[in-house]
Amino acid sequence: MLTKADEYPIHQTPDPIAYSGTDRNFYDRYFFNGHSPDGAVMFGAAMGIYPHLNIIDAAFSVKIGDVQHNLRASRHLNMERMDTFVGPIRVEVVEPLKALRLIVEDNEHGISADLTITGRHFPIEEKRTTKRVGPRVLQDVTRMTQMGRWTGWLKAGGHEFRFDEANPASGVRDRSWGVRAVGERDPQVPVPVQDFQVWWYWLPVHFDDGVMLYLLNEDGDGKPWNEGLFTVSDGGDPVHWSETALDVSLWPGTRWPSGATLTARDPDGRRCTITVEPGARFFMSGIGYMHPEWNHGKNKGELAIAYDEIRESEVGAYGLPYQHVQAFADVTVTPEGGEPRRGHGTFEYILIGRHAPTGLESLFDVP
Amino acid sequence: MIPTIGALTDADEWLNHQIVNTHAVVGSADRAWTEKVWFMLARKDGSMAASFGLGKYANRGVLDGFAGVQVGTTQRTLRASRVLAPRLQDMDVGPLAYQIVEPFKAVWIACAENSAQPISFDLTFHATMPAFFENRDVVIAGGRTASDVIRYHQPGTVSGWIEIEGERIAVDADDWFGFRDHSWGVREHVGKEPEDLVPGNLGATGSDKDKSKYHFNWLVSQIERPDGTRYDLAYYFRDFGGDGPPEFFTGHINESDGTQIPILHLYPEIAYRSTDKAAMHGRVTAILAGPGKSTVERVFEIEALDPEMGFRLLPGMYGAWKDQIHGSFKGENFLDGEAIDDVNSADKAENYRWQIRDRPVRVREGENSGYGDMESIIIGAYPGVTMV
Repeated sequence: MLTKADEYPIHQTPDPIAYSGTDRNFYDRYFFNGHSPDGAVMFGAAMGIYPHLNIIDAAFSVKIGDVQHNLRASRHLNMERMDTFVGPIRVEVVEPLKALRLIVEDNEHGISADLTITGRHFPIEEKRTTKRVGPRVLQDVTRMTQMGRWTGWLKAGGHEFRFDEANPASGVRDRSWGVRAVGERDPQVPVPVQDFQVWWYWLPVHFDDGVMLYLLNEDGDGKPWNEGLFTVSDGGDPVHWSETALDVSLWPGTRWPSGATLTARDPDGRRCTITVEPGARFFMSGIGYMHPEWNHGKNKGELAIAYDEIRESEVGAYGLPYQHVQAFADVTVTPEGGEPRRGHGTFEYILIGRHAPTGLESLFDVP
Repeated sequence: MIPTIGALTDADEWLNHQIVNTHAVVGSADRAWTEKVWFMLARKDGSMAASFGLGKYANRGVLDGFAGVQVGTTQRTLRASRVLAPRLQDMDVGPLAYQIVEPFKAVWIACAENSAQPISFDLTFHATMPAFFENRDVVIAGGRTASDVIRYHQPGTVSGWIEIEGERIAVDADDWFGFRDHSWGVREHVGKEPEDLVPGNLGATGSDKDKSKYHFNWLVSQIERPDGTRYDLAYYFRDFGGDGPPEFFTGHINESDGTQIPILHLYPEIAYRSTDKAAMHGRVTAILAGPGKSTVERVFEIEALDPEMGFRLLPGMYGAWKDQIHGSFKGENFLDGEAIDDVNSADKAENYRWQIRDRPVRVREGENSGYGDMESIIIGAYPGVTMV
């Protein structure tokens, strides 16, 4: 079927743009987050299309103090991939690879926004990550990440926040596409049957004169299978750091980190210590990640819109769907014998399943 | 830069990925991968025609294109080529430019004043009907997929201006008609073929046609009923002789509401001019499915608008021309062109690829009448085909 994007010379297969190979788990997504400099307000958004599920969904969440306000929307895609809107949530490309606008129209739930993120640097291409279970592709993802500054406004829970060039919100956005578990789970599990395991840290950090991005995936034995540490000076190109090692301590009774120390060698060859102090938590289930009812790609009908709130003080026992967190973080980088450099950003973590170095054996056991 | 991932492009900002890589990369390693746009534009009185094409060859690292104008038997053509990177997404090369004004509604093409030929134009194609796919064109030759391409075309008209040798001619949408297409995939006649291939590795259309039979005919049209509604007889066949249906056939009667009625069988009775193999007139019988076992015949009469008109595509690199063919590397910024005074001279037709021309035709079905574009090659005798 012809759709609007078929007008453009961007084809990658001898098929119309409406099709992306044959894997039903193909997806293509925008992700955004932002926070005020002190972390008092945090927000996140996601918009994904699932060409073979024929679904587009989006969510916008704002965390103010104890309360996270979550607006979620889903509709049938009808194969038109250029229509980047779902209910009241819309994404516009202002300038490709530089500026994007996120709009949440007024609605009955009192959560709305008109925010533009402008990148501080050319997007960082992360390494393509491919994971299989036996012959089955579990994950095959290409992602670019860009840190930026937000201007505009948002409203939630009767509060209004405004950000301008003098006082912007900081944040990060990514674009990723490929294959991930989306929509309903396959009732027939892949063979050989494997216990579910994710051990993931992601740390985008803003400094006055540049940014840093760290990422780490480890398997159940604690062996990294995807790792990278980059810094980008304003107006510069990404440079890679080496010899990274992450040490994380967890709050007792949870898998939420209480603090982390990353050591690495910078491009000048200096050993550096990077201290991460996690603060307020933004729950990623608010924007659909691992949400039991609003997980990405789920068919919610022709159009569905929902709103709820998460009160962190009432989350109670550590468990689903609160494992996947992006915490506001103060970050300090101290080169050996040098002056500390302070920044702030997001410390994302998903820690599920076995992880031998931490002494964790099952899906949700806690230290 | 990650070695296994392509460069980020502006297009990566939208949700249109078909593979797990950036839009700098395509899902095939075949060097013949092509994304191509083409336009045929003609005056309804047959006195002038213009042509334009751009091709992007992701696995050859080239963007090339052509533009031309025909008046009478004189065809002026210019060709431009550049290295694709780093402007992977920009659809311009030398004096040639192409932009989507509104998807499937309006497309702008331009040929700026240039040193190769004294022609330039600034034209906007306006769709008069939806765009329609043809059947996917797959050719397997010697075990290799020599062609795997899909194409849509769209009927329309055009407005703007054309300048020839300093004289500017207004192009009025009411006096002109046109068609454009857009195709992508692995295509034949892209780049030079390797010299060390097992015989048969090239598709039948890509191999030498010396002494072999070949009837190629592609038609798109816009036909108007007395009530003003429009439809499009669109077909394409490649027939290499022998009994039975052509090796490749796609045919539809396309309605303005988007309906595509498949043509089950086509019988072309076309009279070609013996000197230059130009399609002069003919009758095309399209057989469609009727109720139950029955079939329905629809008969279309076709006639050249002007016996001399027909923009030759070979100077547009649809085949080897002056050591150029689609996707050839010609340097960072290549431009050339020529004027050919008598495109219909018999000696030129000895190269079978010279036969391929955009022939403006009148198409009639009963009281319905409209315009079309026919491209053809005829080598050898075929039932229904005559030479005049």
